Amino acid sequence: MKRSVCLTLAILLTLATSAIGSAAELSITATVEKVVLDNGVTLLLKENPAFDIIALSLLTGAGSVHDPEGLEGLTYLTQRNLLSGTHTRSGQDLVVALESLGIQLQATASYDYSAVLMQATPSAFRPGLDILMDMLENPAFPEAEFERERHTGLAEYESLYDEPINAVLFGFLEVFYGDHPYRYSPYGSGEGLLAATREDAANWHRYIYQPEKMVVAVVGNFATAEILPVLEDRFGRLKDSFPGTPVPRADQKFIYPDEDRQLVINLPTQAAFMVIGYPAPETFGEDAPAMAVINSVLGEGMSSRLFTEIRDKRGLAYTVLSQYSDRLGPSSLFTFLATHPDNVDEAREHVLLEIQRFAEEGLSPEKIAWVAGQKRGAFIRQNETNLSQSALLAVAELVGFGYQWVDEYLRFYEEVTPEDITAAAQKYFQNYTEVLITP
Amino acid sequence: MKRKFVSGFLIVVLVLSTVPAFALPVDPDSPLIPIAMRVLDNGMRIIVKEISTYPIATVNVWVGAGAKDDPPGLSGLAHFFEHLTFKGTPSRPRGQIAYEVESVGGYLNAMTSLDFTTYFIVVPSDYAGLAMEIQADALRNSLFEPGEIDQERYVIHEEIRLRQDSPQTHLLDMVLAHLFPGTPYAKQPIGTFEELANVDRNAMVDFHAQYYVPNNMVLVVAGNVSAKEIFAQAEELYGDMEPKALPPSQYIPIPKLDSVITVDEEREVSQSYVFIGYPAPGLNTRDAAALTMASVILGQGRASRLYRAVVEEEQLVNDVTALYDGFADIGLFGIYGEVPSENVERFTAAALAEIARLQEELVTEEELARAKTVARSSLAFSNQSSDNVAVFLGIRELYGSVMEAVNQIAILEQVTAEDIQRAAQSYLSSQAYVLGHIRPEGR
Repeated sequence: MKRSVCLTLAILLTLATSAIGSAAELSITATVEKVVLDNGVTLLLKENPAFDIIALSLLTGAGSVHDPEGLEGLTYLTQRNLLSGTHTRSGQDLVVALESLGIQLQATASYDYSAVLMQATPSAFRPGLDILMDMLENPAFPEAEFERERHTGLAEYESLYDEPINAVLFGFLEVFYGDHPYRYSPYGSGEGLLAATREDAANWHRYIYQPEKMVVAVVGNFATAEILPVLEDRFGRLKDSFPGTPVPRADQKFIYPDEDRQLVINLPTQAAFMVIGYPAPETFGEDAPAMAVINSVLGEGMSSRLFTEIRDKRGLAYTVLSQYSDRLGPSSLFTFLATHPDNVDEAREHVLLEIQRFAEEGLSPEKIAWVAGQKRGAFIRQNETNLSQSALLAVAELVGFGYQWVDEYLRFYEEVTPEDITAAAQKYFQNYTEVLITP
Repeated sequence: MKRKFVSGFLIVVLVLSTVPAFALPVDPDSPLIPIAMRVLDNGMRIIVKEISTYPIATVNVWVGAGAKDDPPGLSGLAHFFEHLTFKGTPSRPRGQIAYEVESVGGYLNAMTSLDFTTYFIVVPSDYAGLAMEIQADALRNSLFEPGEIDQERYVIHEEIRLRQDSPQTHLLDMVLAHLFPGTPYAKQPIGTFEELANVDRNAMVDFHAQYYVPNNMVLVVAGNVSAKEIFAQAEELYGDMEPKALPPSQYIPIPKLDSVITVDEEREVSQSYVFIGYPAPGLNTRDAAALTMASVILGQGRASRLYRAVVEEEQLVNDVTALYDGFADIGLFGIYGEVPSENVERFTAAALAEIARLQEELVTEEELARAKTVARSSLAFSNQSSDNVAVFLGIRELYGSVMEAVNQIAILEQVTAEDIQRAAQSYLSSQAYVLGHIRPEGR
């Protein structure tokens, strides 16, 4: 089924626990071993015997933003077909083999990346890896299975709009990004999913899994000396066989208009759903730390300004938040809330007021330091599992910062200044895009 | 804050009872041992799972009071109460609780179920003591100011509208109302606009005095903590609470359906959303494990019987899943499908045929072995997170004994094909079920 202070801190520490692996000492990367194979595949290995589990994150730098023009959704459709069958195994053979080993395997497509995420017990890891390699090296894309996945994929894409929360967010992307390919969610478009052929998907698989685009991070209970030769052997034999077509969409300039925009969609809902967004720097850009601090103060968590002003003080909404979207290209910072249709104007007024405060008032050094502490704790919470650590290491390596960045990036928040906040707010918070679903 | 109700769509991985047939010694291979447990003099149970490998801790209090305990005319009170526990204490004005937790990068949340209410704080483990102190202050000293109650009432109204606007959530609410008629489980924990209007400070204070008592509470702490220190702090924070006799709990027999009950609704949706539901035994029964395994074999994953039949072979549906979920005395077994509207009848027939097959034939050894492997590894993957560990331990202690969590894998290994067939024969039927259906307009 388908389906986010310092001032009181010192006196509130009523009980500090034993110091084993304290938060201050945490390093995700200290024991990582990196190997780059001749074909360009980057391997990252980290032994972590805490749990009897091995997690593998395979990330490639091919995402939905690269979907060929007219074939929007091709990455998603290709990834859906990863479990459809190989030249020697049917789709059912693959699924039964994986489930019999107790392996969880998921193939995903996002805006800038594609991923295969696998979790296995240590004894199941090697047989699981062999199955994965079969899927990567020998996909068959059987016609019947391809058509079935197209059909169910299209149905899943269409059904997302049945949830008003999804509908308003997808509507926002379309208006906000205009002609830029980020206007499509990773599901693509109905037209694109219908237009894609089996041959397109088979060729696109070769585009997605080009060795030089690929980072494989493995974290878990293993001995590097034993696993590394296996990984070197398996991933070392991958070759770049992308024939050049379909042609990946070229980078496209994003021009945000000098005006506010509003789209109202009338649907028979009980609540009104509102998204208001502004341009924001790319996730790894120079202004990103300042924007991330702004987002935390604005709408992350129950102590954020939006939550406090709109929910706690006024009772206007149950869900109210902001999000600074992960994009390697042009990004957005948007707010979302659902409220009674009669309260839309009042809610909008408070959202816009809170956003403009950043440009007019900035943030104090104390508040920025508070956010940096919050980010550190959140980082610890969010990287508890072998799978989350492997995915994070892989992303850092893939974007070119190197896996060591994982332990370093938190200091970027500590280095944000009040001037950075004001400058970012004044630069980006000029004109907004609003999409409203209301009865 | 994002809150969610623990209800039908929450898949409980594995269960079992305290009945003698399943009584097991402690499984020496359980990944959950050792755990430490202490009962305070006032009856409050404290469970600690030390996990020293990562600097995080989850502090999780369970209270044996949920929507089924809402007084007549005050439906939604337990959930409303839960919202108010974050709104301020004498030492922490509105907003301060969240501010302090989030200052250290922590996260707090709460859920109200039919049977219980549970409160979480997840923090870097250096701050476990802080989390315990904040949680105890909120649970013991909330102010329930009338102005805050009125304000929060509007927030819950918005929460109700969100549930109604989601086809999946609304479908489940529709089905539950007809699955357990005449029981407290037939209502929605969130309550109704009409009865929420009746909730005032007195209702809050009375509810607190009646149910938020130590002999009705379980504290679970999982993570990089010292059990000795947690026990000492728990004694400090909760030891002076007075135990109190709880209102007698009413045993709810499993409702018996004798016909097909259809509940449907039209909406602007792209496909039909279908749920076939059956009343089932509660979490603390021996048949719950068998029904859980039945749900895996029937409809979890791409190798399941239903997926193969109605997605791959007949191509009738876009997605399908089967599930079992249990409450204290009763539970539900269900099949959920996302279906092109023209295929609903064929999908229903195919699902019922698979139910009949479960009743008539033993599942194969291969299927059962695979289902056990899937359940076992899912449990292992899930238990990498301290919050999942805390929930897994806490809910089982509240429903019977934490040892059921410890022995989970061993319990799973005992389920036989005959157990599954007997459970299917006892609780499932092709003639009596609730069919919930949200259909596209005009179809």
